[in-house]
Amino acid sequence: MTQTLHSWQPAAAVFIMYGFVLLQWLCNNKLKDRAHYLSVAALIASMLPLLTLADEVFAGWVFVVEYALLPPFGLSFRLDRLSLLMAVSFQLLGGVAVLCGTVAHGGSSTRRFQTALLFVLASALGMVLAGDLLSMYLFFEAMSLTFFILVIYRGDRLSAAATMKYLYMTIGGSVLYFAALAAVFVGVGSFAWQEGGFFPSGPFLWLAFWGFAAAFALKSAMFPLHFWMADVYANAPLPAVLLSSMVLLKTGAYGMIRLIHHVFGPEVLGQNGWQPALLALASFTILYGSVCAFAQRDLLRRLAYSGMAQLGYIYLGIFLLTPAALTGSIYHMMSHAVFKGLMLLCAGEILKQTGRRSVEQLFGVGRQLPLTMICFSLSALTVIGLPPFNVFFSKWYLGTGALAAGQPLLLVLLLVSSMLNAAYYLPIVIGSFFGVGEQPLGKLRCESFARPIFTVLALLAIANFAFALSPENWLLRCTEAVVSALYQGE
Amino acid sequence: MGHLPAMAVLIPFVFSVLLFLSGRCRQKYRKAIVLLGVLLPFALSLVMLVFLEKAPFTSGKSYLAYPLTFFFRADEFSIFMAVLFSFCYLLATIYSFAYLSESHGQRRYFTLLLSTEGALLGVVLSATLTGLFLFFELMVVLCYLLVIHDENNKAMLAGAKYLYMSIAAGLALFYGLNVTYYLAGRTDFVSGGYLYASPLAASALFAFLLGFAIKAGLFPVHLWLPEAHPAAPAPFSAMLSGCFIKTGVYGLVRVIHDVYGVAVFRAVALDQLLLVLAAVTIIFGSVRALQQDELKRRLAYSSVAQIGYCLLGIALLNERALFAAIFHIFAHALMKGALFLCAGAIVSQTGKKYVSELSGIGRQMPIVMGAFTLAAASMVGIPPFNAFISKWHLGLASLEGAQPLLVAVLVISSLLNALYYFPIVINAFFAGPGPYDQKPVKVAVPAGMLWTTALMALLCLGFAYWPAVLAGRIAAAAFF
Repeated sequence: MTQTLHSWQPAAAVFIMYGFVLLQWLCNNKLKDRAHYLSVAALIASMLPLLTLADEVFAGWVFVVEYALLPPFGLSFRLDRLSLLMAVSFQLLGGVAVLCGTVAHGGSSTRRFQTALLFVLASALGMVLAGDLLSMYLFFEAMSLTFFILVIYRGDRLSAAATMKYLYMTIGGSVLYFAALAAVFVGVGSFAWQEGGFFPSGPFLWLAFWGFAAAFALKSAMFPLHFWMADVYANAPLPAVLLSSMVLLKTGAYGMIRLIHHVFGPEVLGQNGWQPALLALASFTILYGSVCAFAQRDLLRRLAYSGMAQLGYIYLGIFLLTPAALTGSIYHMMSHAVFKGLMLLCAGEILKQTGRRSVEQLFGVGRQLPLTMICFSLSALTVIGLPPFNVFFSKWYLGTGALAAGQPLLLVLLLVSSMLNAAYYLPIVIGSFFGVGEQPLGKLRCESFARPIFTVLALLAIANFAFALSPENWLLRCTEAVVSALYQGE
Repeated sequence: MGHLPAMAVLIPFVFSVLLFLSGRCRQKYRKAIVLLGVLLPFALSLVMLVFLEKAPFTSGKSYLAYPLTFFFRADEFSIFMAVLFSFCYLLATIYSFAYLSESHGQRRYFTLLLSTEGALLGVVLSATLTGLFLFFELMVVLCYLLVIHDENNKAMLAGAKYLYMSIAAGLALFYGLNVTYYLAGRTDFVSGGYLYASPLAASALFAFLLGFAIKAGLFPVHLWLPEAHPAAPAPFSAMLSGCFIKTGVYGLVRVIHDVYGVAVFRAVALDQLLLVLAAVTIIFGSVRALQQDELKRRLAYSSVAQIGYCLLGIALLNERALFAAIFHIFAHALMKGALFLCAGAIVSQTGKKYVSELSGIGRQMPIVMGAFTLAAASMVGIPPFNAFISKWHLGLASLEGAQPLLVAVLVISSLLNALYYFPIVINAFFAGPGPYDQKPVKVAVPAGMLWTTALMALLCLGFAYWPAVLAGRIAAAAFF
């Protein structure tokens, strides 16, 4: 059983982040080019208090703290294995967006952009460290609403339109969340997470479940709530897209895991017959995303729809309700963030260096930007699930989970989706390097990057396979530990 | 001795990295690196063959974390395949030096050639299905880059077909592997297998069959094979046909005999499916080969037909048939390798790609066409040649398995083989431009190409004792 302790660290991590947001706002103009050091410092400073507790958390302790800030419910934080893993990965991946943000944008609104970026990251951290539904709501809203500042950054008509789409859908989601919150309050009267759930039945069960589920599904662009995503990807600046794909989408999935395991309990899905519907939705998201990605000519839109398909994997793993599937799901959150982040960075780099973003225009681009395209190729091979790369492990665990749930057809679905992935990524990779006519290979020169971008590219590229090639895949072991904690509470 | 298999796999990779980094070195040093990279694995395989009674050579440690854990283990079957493959690679590499002397991307070609050898040896020396799968996928990606070496439209199209079908094969194997692990909790090879028949096991076996059949080029999923073989550079076509499609056969034997067991395979009735498809493949491949005018395409379709023999031998599920299948892997690797090397020599020295252009070529290139004749005769299955042994035993095994119709299939196929190989030979020597008694202009062939081709062809002629003994032992071990 888990033992609970009081500790200030989870709250401190969140407040440190917000403190740095304020600092960024005040000092950005003075720091000029060095402003991103402040953001990086924020990420490191907020990670430290969490890391000091890592050993205890993985030994089975749970740390909670509650402040009477929002009477009558209070603001509570909780650090368990799941939130630790998510928080640390958000801080690391957020660093990618922060570093990319400094390079990609100069000019007068840098201050606004960087501050908002850090604020979104701080709220995402708050969301995964929140100890109850209401605190989570607070951070979830702060995060979702602030994100529009990043989307509308360019200020042209298209980005304004994308922003409006995003904003209205987000508000719709938060209204549903609010209604569900009310239903939980009427039914139980408390909000705090409990192992195995605290709201297994009640008059408003369906309202509560589907309200929360819709809010989270919307955040992570699950079918049929995905409409905002492609527009945002195509029109928002790159750091915002990175943030959305690496962090925001994952918060939705995180919320869904909490919802199922710590609010309603996994049995609720089976007892009410919701599991088949949810599995069908997730499967359809996978297929729909892949097919749409196949149809897109714009690289960023293709990446957006492909991301939707990948989120389908994650949700499939959550809804299968077997430990192996959940392991695959959480592992896939990490692997997706890594390979998709890398792909988006490459797409941004291609756009910056050549001005091309349509898939047909990318023929031969590997000769101009070899390093960028090698990174892109690595990601493309990752997404197909070839063995030494991360996604192989996600698929392996998802597949094992599907078999354990008696659904071998879902494993087949995963493989069909991999085939589709191959069909829409590999032509880009192949066309960019090969078959572009006789060009002497000797004159190849590697492109130059801004130093932060190069660091990030290299780290992400290595992260695609380094975990697998290490003697002990510790990310996988961590994920397994997280899942064992979730399934032990029953 | 336990490290030998791991070293044999690792060495080609190490040398391919060395070669890649040696961009500025002189040509002869780079040649030396390549040669060492193919010689050492062959030497190691030979050592394992010599110390066969100490087999299996098992690597003490396993590599990588679950679910990718694998280790190396060389039993008789692995050693047989490793010796054969590394020998073919040795000859093909020496041949490539001359063949590619004026081509673009030589460093790329040889780097990839070495690393494909590593992957190939990894497939046959892995002790678990997981390792086999890992190297199989690596092999697919690396081979693709060699198939498209010429980078013209034809090669790109053929490469795409190869790549996508191979990825589908890899995904099918993934399904089988995942289900196997779920059912048994292990994926290693144990003689006799360790699984029970169930619907899920049947689906996994079907997935394995599909995956390996794509690789091997079985009839309905052979589509990539006749495209990719002609498109690739000739020495690599020889390797594709001689070695790479054999990994499909090898994998299928492992899955049937060492993971699932013959009883399960029979219980789910997949042996009947494989039997029918193999018979269809034999006839279909031969008929299609007869229709081709492009020499390398004809050879490629002939490979489809020949792989049908191997799969037929597996599907019959008796010891004699398995012996024939394994022996035919050896026989076909040499004869088809020799034929592709001949085709490559003809194309590179005279530019002639079509069968209809080959009249009189035998008098211009006597040694090359002599080698072609030997290999072609072996293809048909005339007694002193190797392929006679496999066909003979395959025929006997069909009778023992109460399938007399299959004997008819074999006979028809041999006849078809004769029909599409012998006219080439006859035209090459006895017809041709100009009067017969006029002295033909000899076409010079680089020595490196000449002796490798000739050696491979000569080995088709009655060099069968040791391989047959070994194949017999492997087949006996598979059936206890």
